[in-house]
Amino acid sequence: MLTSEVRQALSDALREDRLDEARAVLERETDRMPDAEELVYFQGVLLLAQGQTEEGIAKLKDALSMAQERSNFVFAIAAAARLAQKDPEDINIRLRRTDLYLAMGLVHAAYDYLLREFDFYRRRNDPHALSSIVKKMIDIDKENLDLSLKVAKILAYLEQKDEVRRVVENVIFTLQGQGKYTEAAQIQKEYTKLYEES
Amino acid sequence: MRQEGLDPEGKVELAGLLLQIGFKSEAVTEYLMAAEMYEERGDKEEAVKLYEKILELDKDNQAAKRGLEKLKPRSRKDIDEMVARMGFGAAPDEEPAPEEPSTQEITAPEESETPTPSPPKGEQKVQIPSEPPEHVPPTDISEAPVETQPRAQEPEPGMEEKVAGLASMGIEEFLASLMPLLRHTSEELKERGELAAFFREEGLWSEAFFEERPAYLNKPSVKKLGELLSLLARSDDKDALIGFLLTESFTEREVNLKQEVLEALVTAYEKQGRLEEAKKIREKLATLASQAQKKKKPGVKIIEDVPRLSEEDTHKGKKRPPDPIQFV
Repeated sequence: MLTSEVRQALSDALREDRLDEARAVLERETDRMPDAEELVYFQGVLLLAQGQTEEGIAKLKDALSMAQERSNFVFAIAAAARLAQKDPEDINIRLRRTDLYLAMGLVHAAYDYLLREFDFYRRRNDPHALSSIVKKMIDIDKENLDLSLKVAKILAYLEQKDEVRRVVENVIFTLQGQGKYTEAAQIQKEYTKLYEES
Repeated sequence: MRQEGLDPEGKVELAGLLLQIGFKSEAVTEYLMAAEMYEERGDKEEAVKLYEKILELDKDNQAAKRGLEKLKPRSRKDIDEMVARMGFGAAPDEEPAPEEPSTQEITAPEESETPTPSPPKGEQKVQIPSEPPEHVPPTDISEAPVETQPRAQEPEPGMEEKVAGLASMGIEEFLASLMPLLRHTSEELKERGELAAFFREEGLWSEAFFEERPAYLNKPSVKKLGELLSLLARSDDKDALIGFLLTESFTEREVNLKQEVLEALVTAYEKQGRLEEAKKIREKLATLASQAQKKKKPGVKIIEDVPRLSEEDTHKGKKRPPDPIQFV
């Protein structure tokens, strides 16, 4: 773990484009703590600032994984945000940030983030990404059957019939498990139309 | 972002402005919410007008179609079209829909005004899926990233139509229904504030804005607005800046806060060379200022029923009551 002074010094130097100073601090600290995820993160930021995009992205991905494994969520989210800036199309990195919020117990932030992403990909006309986002919404709380059914409609709009089937059948199965047979029958009657061929 | 505080007239005004600046899907959303509000008020005529306007803008808008279905007599043809648009195919053994079927047959139960009649007891047996649905592992921080999705492809010739289709897809109802999922607890606000502070240090201004916005929405103030605007200015994210300010400009806020928002919006438009929009906002600002001035017009107000203290009470050190004649 970096001391707050070192962290601050690195952040300031990188933000203010004092790259030589940042490099010197990084080299010194890396000798001391070669396996610190925070240093890997700052190395990635430095590489990006130097124009070494590919190497910078690789470092940030390492930093994201390391920080995630070590529950250093703030750095993990920062790494994910920087990666998303560099490669806006990478849905995997973007959705991974949802998991970070959830691991922090920030459920509402996770939904907030997914809606932000939904809007992002809607504007980019990417049905695959949209589909991943709405599936992720369901994954946050599978017991929220209302949400599942709403998402099923969006998936149907995106022509993801297999996913619609999976979601609707899950709802029906859950309701049956709760002994709510009438409701399950009603759902089946109305929603199987979303994925069955006419 | 939904503007829950606006009345339907305000939403229609917002929608008009959004349309002028090319935010078609956002305008549709505002029209839709206004139509629903008119409907709740019992003003069916206005609601129908708005639903029809929405369909002029977005002929495939499911929510508007559904709204019209409720308010206008329907023909079988209309219903078939709507069902087709919603992606519902007829179930293999389903009876043909009656001439005037209930909307319940094509809407989700949670959106129906009245529950769909249950089938007769003997027919309540549900066809159980052949096996339990595929288990989706819970979200776990230690898991591998989500499944790889194909990358979005570069727009192809003729793609505009599809872009417009997705950008204006009928998700208004869906998004509106998710709003309760965004209500943050105080603990969550605190944690997001800490994230925002970190992003500030890192110079990730857009991300800092995103993390700080819930605190502002929870308790709006001029100070917090200034902080958010400062972040957006640093991020140079013009779309986010205009989107946020425009949304705020039509949200019910205290006068001084609203003025700050409008002034910032004027500046943002002027910086982008969008002088017509800036002019309109200036007019709105002037109207707001004159309204505020009227409220502050000096005068004399007589306060009745002010308890009177005797001289004796005053000598004992009791606090004097307010003067019954006050300049306001």
